[in-house]
Amino acid sequence: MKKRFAVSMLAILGSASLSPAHAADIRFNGFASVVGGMTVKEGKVKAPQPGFPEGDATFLADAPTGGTYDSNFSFSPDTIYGLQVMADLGDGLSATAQFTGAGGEDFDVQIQWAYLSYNIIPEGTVSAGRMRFPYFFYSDYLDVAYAYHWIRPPVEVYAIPASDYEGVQYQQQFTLGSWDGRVQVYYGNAEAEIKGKALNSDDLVGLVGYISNDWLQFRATHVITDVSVEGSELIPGVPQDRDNPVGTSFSGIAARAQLGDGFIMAEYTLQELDDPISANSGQATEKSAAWYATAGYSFGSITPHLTYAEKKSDRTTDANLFGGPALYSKEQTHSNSSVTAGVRWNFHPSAAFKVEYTSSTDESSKEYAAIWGDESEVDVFTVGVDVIF
Amino acid sequence: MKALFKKSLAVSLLGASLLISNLAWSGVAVIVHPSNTAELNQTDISRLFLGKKKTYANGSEALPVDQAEGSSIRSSFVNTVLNKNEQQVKAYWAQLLFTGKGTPPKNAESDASVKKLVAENPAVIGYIDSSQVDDSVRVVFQY
Repeated sequence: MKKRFAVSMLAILGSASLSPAHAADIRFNGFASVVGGMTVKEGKVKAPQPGFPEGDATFLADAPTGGTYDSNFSFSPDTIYGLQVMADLGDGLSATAQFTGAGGEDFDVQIQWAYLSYNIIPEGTVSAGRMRFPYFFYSDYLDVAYAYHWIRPPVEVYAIPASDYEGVQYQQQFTLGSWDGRVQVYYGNAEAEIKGKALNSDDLVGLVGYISNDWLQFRATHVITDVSVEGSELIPGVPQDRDNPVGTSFSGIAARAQLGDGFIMAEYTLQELDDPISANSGQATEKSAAWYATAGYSFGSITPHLTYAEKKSDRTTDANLFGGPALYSKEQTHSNSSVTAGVRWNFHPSAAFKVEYTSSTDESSKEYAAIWGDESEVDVFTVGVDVIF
Repeated sequence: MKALFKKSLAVSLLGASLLISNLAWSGVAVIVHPSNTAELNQTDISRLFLGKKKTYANGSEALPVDQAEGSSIRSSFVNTVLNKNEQQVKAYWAQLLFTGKGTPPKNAESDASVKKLVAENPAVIGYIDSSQVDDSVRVVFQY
């Protein structure tokens, strides 16, 4: 299904470029990030049941591709190449496709996006196809690290396995005095893979509001969706499928201020299950809040920056849910925080060199650590170059 | 005699510095087609060049044209009218470009080619050295 969709989108793009009647304006743009790194201090992870990972803690750098650093120096987790083709068909109609190869997926080329956009009115655009999931402030250009100061945004917040969705979107731009803004509404579904299992997000309904002036940016979003993991063994003996999804909601707010050569910004997100998951006459709940604050100052082409990030997940399960010992109880909170110090150096008009050190601390409750160990206790060092072309 | 010498030296120094500042600061004019009656202030121009607005006040399409990347007139325009530096503008367009939210204005090679594009198309808006302005275009903003 996914493949056929992609092929038909390519056919549309192809026909646009071949059509002799209308000389379509075709534009190629690309980006690349080559990043290497390794963990330098690891906590110990415990396996609560056979089949769960154990040993040294690792650092999941890129949730959508599963790119993870361990104590061996690797160029894979954050490295990505991308090429975007955009065909302007005239009269407000355009077709866009983006191809990426990420180290976390062995550089297999993926069609990240493929969509058609139509300007119904100059400030209003309808898009349909596969598009970026606008969960976070930096979601839209998450892969284009050149566009932000870090090597990657804080993983405590930016850890959603699905990065794209298929559906429709409407975007309205507006101006209010010295403010410019946009409102985005979308509907669709998303697919992702977690440990080889298909994770489905169906009936996604989302809203994004964004407003900015010369130096301030504000963004707010709310999304609801039905999540299911096909053939999941997350709950042994209870097959999950798309007919038995779990209602999930997600909200986020973010603000950024540019103060001359300096900037400060913060983002807060909250994810929760609408109702407890029920299985085996047991129940599970989860609520996750995450935020970060970051600041930097540009001395010419060199921008040192500092970030604090934090995540707190409250999860509960009954023993009845797993038909065995409960993996979580009311007192079990999984919580971790990190401090990241880094430098961005714009050594070329289209390229930036970045170096970063992140120190993560596991602050989970004793009850949680007794079962899972210090899974978030890890320091990671990364260095890389981002380019756009 | 000594005083006179001092005075004339001061005057000639003043003249020289005026001349130098004139050379370096001949001014930049934002231009549109003579038939385009749009009244634009700095904010309006900034919005057009940053893709935040795609039409003039009367609803007709606006086509901004930039100057060559790295040219001194472009960095002066970016600093003065857009209130950013070129690196920030580059990152800004990377954000829009790779999200399908907009494409940066096309670049023209010189004042002459910007002027030609503007003179030929009522939708185009560009900026050139003030000294290059003639009747083929209308100035909407100057600094």
